Order: sequence, then structure tokens, then C-alpha cells
Amino acid sequence: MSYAKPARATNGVMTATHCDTDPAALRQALMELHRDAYTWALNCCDRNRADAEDVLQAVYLKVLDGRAQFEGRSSMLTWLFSVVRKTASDQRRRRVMHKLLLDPLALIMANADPEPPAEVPIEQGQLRARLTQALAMLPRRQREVLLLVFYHELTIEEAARAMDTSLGSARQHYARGKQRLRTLLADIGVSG
Amino acid sequence: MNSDFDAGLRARMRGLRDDDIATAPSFEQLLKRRLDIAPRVGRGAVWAVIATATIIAIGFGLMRQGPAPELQTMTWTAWQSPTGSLLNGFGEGVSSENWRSPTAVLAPLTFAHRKDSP
Repeated sequence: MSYAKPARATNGVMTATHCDTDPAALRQALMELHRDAYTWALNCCDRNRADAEDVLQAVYLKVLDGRAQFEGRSSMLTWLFSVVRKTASDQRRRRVMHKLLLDPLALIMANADPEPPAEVPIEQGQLRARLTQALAMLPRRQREVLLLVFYHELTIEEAARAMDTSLGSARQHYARGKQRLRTLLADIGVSG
Repeated sequence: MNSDFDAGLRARMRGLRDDDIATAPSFEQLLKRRLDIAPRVGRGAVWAVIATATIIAIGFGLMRQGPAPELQTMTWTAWQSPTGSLLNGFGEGVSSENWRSPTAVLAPLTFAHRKDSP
């Protein structure tokens, strides 16, 4: 199955003014970006589908309710990606706090012996399973920038905007992440 | 070599993305989950309502126990220290008119002696 990139609503069609004035246009723009937003949410939630759906729904509600507003400072896709990333991060923090309050011992045990978060479906090819395994072993920021560049096919500059970080910092994470991923893939028997 | 790695990585990522997209829920489907998760969101609100109702009930219960006892008006002149009762009965005769010192009985004798002396 080939992935045809959706006609993104960012190429001059959707502007901040449209979003402010026309809820239908906003909804349409979200629909057009849905597949990209979903896959990014999936990556932000350590590939947990239920969490990704929760996060993405929260994001859509935020956008449609006007709690998150597109101001046109970047493309709508990178703005939406940054909202997804922030929402996923908030959800992760809330989960940690919740676990800390309800079961601190379990949290300590989990931190002491972290398991790779990636849940690899059986039907996935072994190569892809290894790739997700290697990605899961990268520090979060390095993983994010690599996914934004290689998976979502953004430029490093766009990735920096989606990550709310400087271009220099994104470049650094990109270079280090790529180096480390190459080593990890070689270690688990996947050639470059 | 670097570009080979980049191209290989991009190709693998594309495959992964295709798999992910194949299992993605539709936009409408995702928005409809709003109703499904509503009870989960409402749980916190339910607990807040229960807590508030309990506090109000306790408040009403306390109010219905009857009027609060009237506070006794206290003036500074009527005030007595907690240990003031210890002084009751002790030294009461000091201020009385017929009080005499224990040695007062000696005084008339002394005068009488001087009068009679040569």
C-alpha cells in the first residue's frame, strides 16, 4: 500500500483568518491533516493506539472549541503537530502523577527497569519491528526529530517548529539521533 | 554513505507509516469517541459534587442542632483570674474596721508602764 500524501491545508489555502471566522473550514482543515496528525500522535504516545486516539481527540476538541488557536505563525501542520506533542506530553505527566499517587511502588519499579515502550504488532514485518524497537531506545527529542524528518517528511526547520525548539537544537538532536540510530540498527542486525 | 542511510531509513519509515495509516480511525470516528469518554471525564465532577453535598449536609446538620448558646457578657470588673479563688478567705479581715495587729495588745501595757514610772 502506498501512502499518498494528503493535499495539506497549509499551502496557502488555510490561513489563520479562515480558522477564526469559519468553523467549517477549520473542521475541513483538520480532516485533511487527520492522517498526519494521527500518526504523529501515535509516535508521541510511544505507539500506543488507545493513548494516541485519546490525545488526538483532546487536540481536536481543543482546536474546535477555540482553546488552541492557529495564528498563522507557521504552517497549520507544524502548529497542529506542536499541539499534539504538547497534549501528549501533558497526558504523560498526568499519568505519572496519577501512578505516583495511587501506586508509587509500581512507578519506582517501572523506572528502575524500563521496558521498551513500543508495542509491536505481530503482523508487522520484522524489519519494521526492529526499527520501532531501535527508535524507542533513543532519547525522546532525538526520536521526535528523526520521526518528523524521516517519517513525516518535514524539514528540520519545520520539525523545530513542531517541537517548539530552536533550529540549532533540532539540528543537534537530528545529528546525534541519526548517529545513535545507525549504531542501534547495526547492533540489532539491520544494515544502513 | 550518509545519503544511503537516509534513503534506507526514509523507505523503512514510509513502510511503517503506511501500516499506521491503514489502522487509523477516521476523523469522524475519533470525534464521536467524545460521548464514549464523557463518563470517564465526568467521574471527577461526580466526586466533586458528592464532596460538596457532604460538606453542605454536615453544615446543615450542625446548624439544626439548635441555636448556639448565648455568650456571657464579661466585664473587666467581674473578671477573676483562674487562681483568684485561692485568695478567697485569705486576708479578708485586713480591710475590716475592727482589725487589730497581733501585737496591738502590747501597746496599752507599754503606755501604762511609762505612766507609772517615776
